[in-house]
Amino acid sequence: MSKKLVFVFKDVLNGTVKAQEFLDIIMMAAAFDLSISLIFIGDGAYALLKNQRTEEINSKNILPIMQALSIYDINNIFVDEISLQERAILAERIIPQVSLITREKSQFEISSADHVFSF
Amino acid sequence: MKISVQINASPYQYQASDSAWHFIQAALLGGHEVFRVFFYHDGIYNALHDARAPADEQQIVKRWSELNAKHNVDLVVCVSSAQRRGLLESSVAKKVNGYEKALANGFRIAGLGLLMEAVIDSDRLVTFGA
Amino acid sequence: MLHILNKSASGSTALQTCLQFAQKNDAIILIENAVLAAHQCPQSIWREPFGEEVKVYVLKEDLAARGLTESDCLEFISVIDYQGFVELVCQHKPIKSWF
Repeated sequence: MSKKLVFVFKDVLNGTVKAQEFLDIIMMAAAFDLSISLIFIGDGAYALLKNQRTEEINSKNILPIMQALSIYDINNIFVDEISLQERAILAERIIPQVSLITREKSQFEISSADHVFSF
Repeated sequence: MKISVQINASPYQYQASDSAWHFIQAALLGGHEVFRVFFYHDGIYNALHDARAPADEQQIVKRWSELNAKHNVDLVVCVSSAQRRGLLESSVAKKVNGYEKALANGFRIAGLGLLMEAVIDSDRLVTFGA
Repeated sequence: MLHILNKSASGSTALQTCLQFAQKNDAIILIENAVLAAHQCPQSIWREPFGEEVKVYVLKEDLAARGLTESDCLEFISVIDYQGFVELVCQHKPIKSWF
């Protein structure tokens, strides 16, 4: 049985190479046919906002890649709904490929991983 | 246990490299196998051949080289992180600018596939960063 | 699971967020600047009571480096060394580092 990897995003990804380097790991994990989940918590919820005009700071926009992850069979993209509520972010403001999950499900998702990558 | 370590931060600027090294020493002392240390993001700066800290400071790069020499711990620098930051594998370095020896002894440059292998083959992977 | 914290409560939201997600039988270890969170003082961020469902550990070497001692620490926090850190890693899965 292949290992379950969970990628936890706790912060925004703008302005640095981190976003790309995190995605590189996710893509490589997909190539190895491992079970993959992405979960956005805390300020990581902001990373999912639509209409990020990253060209304003000459930064790479990773949203298009995030939205295309299903091509790589990565369909488990979650956001902790309490993190959204705390930041007054309505569901319609984030990309549609993300599923809202409860705090309990968020905790379970992370704790049931074989390995957690933290960003 | 088979333990691997990922290091995401540069030496001296952050304590991560130091914490990782001490953790690895304790793991080896405890009889565990340290399968691989994978240097990612700014962690690649742990592998600079020409790093020269003052004599009364931690010789962080040298310590890694010694870890590899003494315990055969596999020290892998991620090629994409390295290239982005100007650390080139010797054959590439030679071609590009004639400077061959950029990587400290005991390190090798490879792709993220080796990180995945560490995840798959190890019982635990501990990340040190900033 | 094991949560590894390395930043102080004032240096990052990591500890605060970790506490929101930690579950019963998890363990937390404070290393590097996060050891400051082990200090018993008015600005302490731990909600009472703590330590029964989630065991908290602090790294001895990092405490000492910052001039703190075991007696400075909150009662529910156990002081361990790097060997203890390795044992925690072996006892828990998964391991999550918070930054």
